[in-house]
Amino acid sequence: MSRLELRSMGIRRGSRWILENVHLAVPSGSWLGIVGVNGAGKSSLLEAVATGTHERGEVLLDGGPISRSARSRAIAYAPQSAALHGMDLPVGDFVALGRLPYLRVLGGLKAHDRRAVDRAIERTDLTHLADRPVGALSGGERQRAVLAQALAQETRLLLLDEPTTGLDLHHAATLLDLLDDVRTDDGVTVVSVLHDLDAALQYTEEIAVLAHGGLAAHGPTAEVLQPDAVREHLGAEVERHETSQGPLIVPRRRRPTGR
Amino acid sequence: MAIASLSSGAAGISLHDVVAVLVARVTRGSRSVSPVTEAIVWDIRAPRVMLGAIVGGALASAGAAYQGALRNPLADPYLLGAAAGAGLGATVAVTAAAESWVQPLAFLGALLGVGATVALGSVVDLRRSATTILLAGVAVSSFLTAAQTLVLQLHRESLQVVYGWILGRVATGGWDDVRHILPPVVVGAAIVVSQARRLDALSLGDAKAESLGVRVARTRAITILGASMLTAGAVASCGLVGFVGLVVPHMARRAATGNRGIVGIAFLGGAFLLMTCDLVARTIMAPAELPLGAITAFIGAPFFAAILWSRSRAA
Repeated sequence: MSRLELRSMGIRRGSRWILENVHLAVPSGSWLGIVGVNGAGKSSLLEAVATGTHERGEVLLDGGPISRSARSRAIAYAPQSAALHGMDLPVGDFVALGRLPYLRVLGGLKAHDRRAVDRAIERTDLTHLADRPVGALSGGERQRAVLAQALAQETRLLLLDEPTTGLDLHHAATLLDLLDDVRTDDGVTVVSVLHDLDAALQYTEEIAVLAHGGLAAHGPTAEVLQPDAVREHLGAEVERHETSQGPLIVPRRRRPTGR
Repeated sequence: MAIASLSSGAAGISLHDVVAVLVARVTRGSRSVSPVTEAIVWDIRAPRVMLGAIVGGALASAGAAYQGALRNPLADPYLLGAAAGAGLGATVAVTAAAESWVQPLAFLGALLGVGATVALGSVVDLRRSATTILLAGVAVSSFLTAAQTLVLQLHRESLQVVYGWILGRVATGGWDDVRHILPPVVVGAAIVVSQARRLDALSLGDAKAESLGVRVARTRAITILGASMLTAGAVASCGLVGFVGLVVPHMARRAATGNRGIVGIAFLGGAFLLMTCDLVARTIMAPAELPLGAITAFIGAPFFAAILWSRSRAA
């Protein structure tokens, strides 16, 4: 269990500040969604927390700052998987790289490391693909391999950049359910960038909306994601419907639907 | 290959005699071959074969390490300024008529060439992105080559010797050359192997690698240092033997995954390839010797083309 806190975070690319003065607290064992239009700084924020490369402010874990060596054992980061296109490492070795923070320079995987790798592969349902090169996997399988690598790191905090992008409905739901299990079974705190507002409503407890170079809104997901807020911060016209499954957000077509 | 190599040359010696010499040397038993045969096999050919194997292995594993560190399949031991630096060092030594300084100056030149490249790359871009370093290598190489040309123009009488050095040859100075090349190669290889797993992490992207606790810039710099020691040791003793450092790592990449395996297999492959090329170089037109660099390119280029061809078909 791990409480994440961002204080006055500022991130710069070249001379331009893409995010300034971000304050955010994520309670232990909860799931925070991050939404925002393209270029709002969602990926940069995750990357900065995962690598400590922000220009201003601080990242606190359980109330204290984290050293570089402690960070890699406390925070796992799953970037978007598109870059892994040509990777020829087999899935098993790829997932085993998640154990890197625990290995000595020349030492190999110990029994405990192997167990962590096997468990991560099993949970993401990749056992039958363990010998396949990562670059030869389908988009959904690759997303699962990236997640497996992060799970093998056995951290208390999981940062995921658009984990369901490119996945079909079934695979997206399976992956979100798996994350839900990891969170409830292992008490892992999850922070994920999501574009699907319905998925955010269904899975995340709180949501952070990034817009206009900073944190535009933050709070319980169902409270924050109102049509007005979506219009203002995400630039989209939507309708919100209350259903037995909870609220649903539907984009509004500019022309009236011809029914 | 090693034994075939020992047996072939300007003076024909049977495989049987070669084995007899080796057995006698290893077991310190009595010998059944003439002292002349033994001298040719043990004092002239054996160190040459050994040196060829070490140089080939060093260049190939250095290439694999550069490619891993810079995440660029075109990176090779000479691209970062090592060749141009060694060339300038050797040229200076030759023109100053200091033959015994050729090896040390070529070694130093190679290291300084790469050092200048990394320094330039990191002044321009503090996070030392791979492309910046490669571009810096091009700039430094051009500059050093220009300096070498200038020195050569002022000492035209050295042209022949320098040209011969540039084309590469397995030095025939005996076991001393083997002893000289070992320290940089052993240290360089140890450095490269120690970074191999971190290089695997670099292939996940810089941000992901950093999140796994890998210091990306430092890992890249240490690997380049190790690979450059391998390269400098190789070029100092055998001149500029091209293509081994580019072709062999690509072959190794097909046989192994993970940088530790790739570097190891590249070493073996490079050793084998250079022994073979040296054998061809000194037998095909014996007693004349062909420049080794020409042979490696001659054999390596079609091989490389074949790899590219099969890769494009597989993709």
